[in-house]
Amino acid sequence: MNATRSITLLDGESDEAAPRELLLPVAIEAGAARVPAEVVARELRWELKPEGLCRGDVCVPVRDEPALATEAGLDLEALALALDRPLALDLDEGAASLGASAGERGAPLARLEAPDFELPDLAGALHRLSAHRGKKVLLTVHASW
Amino acid sequence: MWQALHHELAEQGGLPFTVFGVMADRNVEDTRPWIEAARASYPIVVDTQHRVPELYNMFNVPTLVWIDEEGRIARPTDVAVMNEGGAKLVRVEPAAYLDRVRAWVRGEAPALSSTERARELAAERLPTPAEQQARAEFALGQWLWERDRGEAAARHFELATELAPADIMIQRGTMRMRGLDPMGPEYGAIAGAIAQRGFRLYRPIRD
Repeated sequence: MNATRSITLLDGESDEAAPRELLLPVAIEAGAARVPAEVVARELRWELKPEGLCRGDVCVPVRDEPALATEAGLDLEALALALDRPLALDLDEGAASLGASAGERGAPLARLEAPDFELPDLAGALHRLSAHRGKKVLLTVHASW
Repeated sequence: MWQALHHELAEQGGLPFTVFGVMADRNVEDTRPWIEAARASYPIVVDTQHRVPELYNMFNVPTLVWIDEEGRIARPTDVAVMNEGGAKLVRVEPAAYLDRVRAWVRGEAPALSSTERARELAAERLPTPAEQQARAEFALGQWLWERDRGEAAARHFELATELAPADIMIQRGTMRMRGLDPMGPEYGAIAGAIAQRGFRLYRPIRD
């Protein structure tokens, strides 16, 4: 039995202050959450081609294409697996979070490049780390707890 | 806590330097008393989604990173606490640490003995797939919690803590959202269990 509904997908790939929130149509097929391939191409910018999942010139090979793609769309779990990205999925809540891969997050750190970010202060004013280029920066991370 | 150092070096000393503060908390309101008490002339931002902990692969607070003029990490994830109790806990002598920062900012000493040492320290702490999976569960939990879906949120926070038990940012940072007290005996038990498994809650850098 197939049921079509929508799911909120949090795309945590970028370095934005909050994950990008996407509302995607999803079909539940044998327990798999499938998003139409054209929606994946438009919203997540990954297109299924004969050579694999492609974004521009970059293609990632897909080991199990029948599991990834059916007429109903691309299985989110298989998509995350192929892209080596973590997926937290909660179909009961109609929400999922697609994070960044360990490799993508680790690469700049291994090269000793300070990842840039922009976040708000108490008043809501945004501050970007790279605005302080030309200065030495002591980055301090705390929590109130 | 770092205001005196920022004032001394950047404002009085006129050196190209700033402290940049990040509060990794569940909401803005929790950070307000802390930020107001800091009376900082440097930026302090609020990071409810743990973006900075994720980008820098941080597991605990307080955490420090030294970044040079070109935006390169001169000294990877480090720890220092300026009060006596905290200093003992993390085994870093506050006065000596501040002197190291001063010498680096004044150009009198490097941030670490060598760039190779910095690379080695960075390589010790690169994110694993399980840690990134934990962060995806955290992100989903935080989103649900912000929408008053507390029970569902708690399930994803629990999954996150199982995937990355030594990630104190997640373990302790989500306790209030799971109906637990991060300052109470529950945290002591968690910290003890983590230590027993051989994880270090802090990594003070030794040259």
